[in-house]
Amino acid sequence: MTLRPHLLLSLFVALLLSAGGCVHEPRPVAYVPGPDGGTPRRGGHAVFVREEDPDYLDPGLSYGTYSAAVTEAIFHTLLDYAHEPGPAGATLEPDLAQSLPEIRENGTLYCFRVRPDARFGAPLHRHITAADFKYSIERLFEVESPGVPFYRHIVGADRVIAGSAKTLPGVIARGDSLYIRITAPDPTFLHILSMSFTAPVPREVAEKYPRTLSQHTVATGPFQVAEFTPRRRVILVRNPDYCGKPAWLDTFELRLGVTQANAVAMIRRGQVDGGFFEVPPAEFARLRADSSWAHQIDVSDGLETDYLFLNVRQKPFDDVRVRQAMEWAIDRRALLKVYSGKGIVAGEFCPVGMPGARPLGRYVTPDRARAKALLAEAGYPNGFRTKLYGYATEPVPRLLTIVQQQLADVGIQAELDIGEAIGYTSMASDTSRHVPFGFYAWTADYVDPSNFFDTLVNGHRITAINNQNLSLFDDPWVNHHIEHAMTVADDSTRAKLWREIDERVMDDAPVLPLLHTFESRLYSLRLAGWYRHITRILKIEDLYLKSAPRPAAVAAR
Amino acid sequence: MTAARRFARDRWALTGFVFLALLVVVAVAAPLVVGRVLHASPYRLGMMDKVKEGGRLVDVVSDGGIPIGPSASYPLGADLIGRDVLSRLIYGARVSLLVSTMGTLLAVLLGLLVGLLAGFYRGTVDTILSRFVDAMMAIPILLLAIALASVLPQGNVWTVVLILGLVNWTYLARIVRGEVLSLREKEFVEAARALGANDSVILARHLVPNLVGPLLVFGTLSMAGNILLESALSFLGVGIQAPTPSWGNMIQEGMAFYSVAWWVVLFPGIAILLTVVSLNLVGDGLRDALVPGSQERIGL
Repeated sequence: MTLRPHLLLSLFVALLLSAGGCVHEPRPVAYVPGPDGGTPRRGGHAVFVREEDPDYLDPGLSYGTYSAAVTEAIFHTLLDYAHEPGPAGATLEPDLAQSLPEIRENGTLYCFRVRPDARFGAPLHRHITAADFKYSIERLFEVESPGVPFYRHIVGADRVIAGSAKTLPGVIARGDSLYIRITAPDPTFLHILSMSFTAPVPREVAEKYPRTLSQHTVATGPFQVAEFTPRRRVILVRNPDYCGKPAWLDTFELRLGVTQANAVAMIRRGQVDGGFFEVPPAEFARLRADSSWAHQIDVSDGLETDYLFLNVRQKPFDDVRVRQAMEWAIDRRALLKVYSGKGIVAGEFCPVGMPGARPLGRYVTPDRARAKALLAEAGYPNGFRTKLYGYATEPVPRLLTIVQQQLADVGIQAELDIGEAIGYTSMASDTSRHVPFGFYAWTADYVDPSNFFDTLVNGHRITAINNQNLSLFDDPWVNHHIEHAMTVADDSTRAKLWREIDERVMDDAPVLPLLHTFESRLYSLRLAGWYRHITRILKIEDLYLKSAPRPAAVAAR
Repeated sequence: MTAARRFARDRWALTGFVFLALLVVVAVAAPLVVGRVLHASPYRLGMMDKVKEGGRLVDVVSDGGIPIGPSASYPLGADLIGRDVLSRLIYGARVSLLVSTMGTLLAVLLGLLVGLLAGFYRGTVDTILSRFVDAMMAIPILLLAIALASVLPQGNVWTVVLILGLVNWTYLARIVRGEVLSLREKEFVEAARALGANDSVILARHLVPNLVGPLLVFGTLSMAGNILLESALSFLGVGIQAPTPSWGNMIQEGMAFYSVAWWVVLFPGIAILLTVVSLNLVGDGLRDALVPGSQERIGL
């Protein structure tokens, strides 16, 4: 008898599969602060990994959650957040600005002075002026940045959005003085200005490379790009032109195309120092049980809501009873197990970790009889068929399979359409694709409920592309109250308003909040200075090595 | 000695045949076996269920997301979302056997047609068809299958059947062509022609019956390859889509968890291994029984 190639293959597969390990019971999840690494010291080379490429290395276009840590290490702007873990990190500090701005005219005029030592990195090495900030903010509208809706209240932005003007009269640059005027007071506007969308981009480079700025970055932050090879790696080197506190590391390398499971093995073997990935549940259980590694996992509340959006302009989701039926059909407690219990069941849209937020506890216990009754009342006694969109990053496919089954239990047949994570957001946020029903996860850009409500359910923010209001929900009461709450300065009044809005959103159910998940990250034993920043994911400039550094991969250019 | 007797004397081939026969019976009777005998379901989620094990209630899926292993309630354990692995394995057998059988049938039909025409008519027809077959064979099977999967509607069982048929027929076309080139020179073909039989009668009545042996051997061995290919496609996410169970997508779903839930990947892996080995044993047995001493000639 001859041994055939596929027979050999099957034997190999079986041997491979039978090489499984032993079973470990996971321990309860608790917040683990980063271990004390002693006095930080300068130098060394840290390697991180990630499966997908960063979306862009262009501050005007980049808006991926995991890309943020990299882009925010390269591109700094007028303000930054305090380098502190936990809520203390939500405090704004001047960065490329000399000080926090003077706010005049009842909170509608912000007056900044750019630091005299603020400079662009290589190859320009020139002073950053207020005109560079003005150009960068106006460029957002020109390149149709996903950040545009945040800046729509700058005076003149409406005309630029409508296409009848190209410059913003609300942004005035005089030497190192920058004045930004908005149409109405907005207590969150400083947070919005601290987003890397406003990082200065030199006009001479942006106009020379209008479509490929990611390959021609000019840094304004503690790191600059030495190499960006798509699907291979990004290498950052310390930027000597940065006027703020310099980074500890000499170089930071981000290797691309590494899967989660491989990444954990590489970190454990000491080949890499960390990564922008969620620790896989199986590895999480094992690492938490290992005393050497348990403290190298950072589990933290990233102010996130994982939810399903329903396109309220499409049947049958235009009927609130159908949407509520779907809320009642889902057992969120089962979904939490998919995340190894890392998180809490979402009975509200705004994460409960947000200052001022309070749990509403809506729909947290499923009621299938009620769901069926609501469907029957809406004219769908036998349910209906639909398509549920999502992306392939673990554990989303498993989560959606459970949702699919739970919906099937009340008669709703949802066919899964799972695509690659890269490109999913742009597909879902393109209104011409008419996505009826899909999964989305939102992590706070800044610490205020407006980042959830204004960004994700305000009907006035619906745009043809880069639309974050994926439900296309446009309720005048909700829109009005969101915009009113954004102008209220008193914290308790604002908190009360946000709760009312949250209740209304949960009643109308354009979105089905599932979980407020926590993030888990694994770091090597030699790396210190890591912590989940409340808005900046990870401050790469704060990382340092405990032991003797490896030789740097490249020299600073 | 008849072919059946020769086959029956090959104990390994017979063992493979018995295993496959049992598998087919279980797969065909899957709803009965799973529903009435096991009282289980391949689709029902047990995320929030508890079962009694050793006198105490335990979660089918723990709060940490780890499913229950092989136990009295779940003989082969539960998968990551609390579904019964044994039930999914049995239903997966239906899918794996169906797509590999139908895929092989399609490959046999295409290969037979092209091989017959090329071998019988020779000349220009042979040149064109043979070069086309050569070109197709130059493309790696898995690459071709993935390329086809990406342009055809995904997740459909019949799409996978089509892919398996389209990537496998070329081998058979070559074998059939070689056989026909030899058979067309035999006396019985000349006799048929002398009696006034036209080409289609010669092809259908005289040549095809003489190809049954190689076809049967190729079909059996090709099925083994098709089971692996279907598993590979499902593993890569372009084959059978969830929640329909196939052995390949069962492994794919559990792969990241093999260290804490080994049963999710081990049992489908064993099922693939045993089925492929059995098909190979039966294929080899059939070859020895039907085409004695011709292994080298038919190139199997």
